[in-house]
Amino acid sequence: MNSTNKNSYIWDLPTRVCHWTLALLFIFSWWSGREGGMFLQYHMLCGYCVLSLILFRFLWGFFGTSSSLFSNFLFGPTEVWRYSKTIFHRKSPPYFTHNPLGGWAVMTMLLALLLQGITGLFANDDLFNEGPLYQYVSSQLSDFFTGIHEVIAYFLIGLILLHILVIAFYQFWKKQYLVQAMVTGYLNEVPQKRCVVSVTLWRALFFLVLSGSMVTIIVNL
Amino acid sequence: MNNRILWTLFLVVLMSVTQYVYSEPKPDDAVHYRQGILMALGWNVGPMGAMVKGKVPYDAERFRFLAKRLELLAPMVREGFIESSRSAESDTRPEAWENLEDFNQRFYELEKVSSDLAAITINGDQEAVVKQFIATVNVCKDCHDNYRVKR
Repeated sequence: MNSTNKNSYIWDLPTRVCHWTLALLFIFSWWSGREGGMFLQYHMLCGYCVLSLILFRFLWGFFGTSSSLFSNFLFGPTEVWRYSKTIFHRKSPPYFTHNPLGGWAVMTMLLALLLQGITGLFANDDLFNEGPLYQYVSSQLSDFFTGIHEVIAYFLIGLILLHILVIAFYQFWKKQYLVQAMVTGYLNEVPQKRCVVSVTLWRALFFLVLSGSMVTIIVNL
Repeated sequence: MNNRILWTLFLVVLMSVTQYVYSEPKPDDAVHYRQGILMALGWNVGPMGAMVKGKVPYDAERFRFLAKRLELLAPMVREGFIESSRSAESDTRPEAWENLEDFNQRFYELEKVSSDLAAITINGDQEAVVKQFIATVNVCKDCHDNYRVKR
């Protein structure tokens, strides 16, 4: 890595923890979902955690730190197009937060995970496992949601593989150390020398408890 | 004359009766039949699963009763897959008919695991019962994964 004085602090702790926890939860969800049967009860617990974290991330996108704010990384089509044209340039400018293309990739993943969590609440496995809100829909609708749940799972796998490929591309071709940034919070060579505007961890904890409670209430309806 | 009419009537009735008795079930009836049996299997697996997951307290007596039902129902499913229902609208994938031997094998397997389950519930401890229950539902799941249409 470059000398520390060139690095900028861009990812606050809650965002990083949220990212890596989601990654672990996704791996376990994929595995337990495929195993099925007795593992589905843990799959469901896992899903509740994913839903809580996604809700947290949405709240954090409005009330969180500057680099996590949606308004700071969701750009209009002109900006996205301009950035897309430079994506293969070795020296494309690093961004203080997600770049215009990456921002929408993040939003796509968040929305897919949200939809995955919601459809899972109504799903069934045709045996003896049902999502917590199964009782509120007809069995045909539950089957429909189960089908969507399966399709989104594959869609997510595709998105995540793409995500990893692109990160590797940035890491090795553009020498923008995004992996280190998501681990330590520091990104090399951010031109504007901007740092994340810190907010207290209490705020993150508050939103985490809030989203966790919301999910808990929903799954116990 | 009168006699001849009676004979004709008798023959017509006899023919229609034999026709009725020997006619194969209609394809869509076969589909409804097997869906009914599968529904009944699921109906009984549900509360067993709830006990195994600890959602409701384990009740050995009730579990034995439900397992006995599975044992009775399991051999009945296969009968609904008559040849003429091959192209009837159902949740069976065409692969089932293309690999009929493997498909049938799964029903024999289901018969075996569910009858073993019923046997274990008579004397077996809860741990053994749970183990066999999992083996049973895995037979269900594997077949669904391979031969039931994707939802």
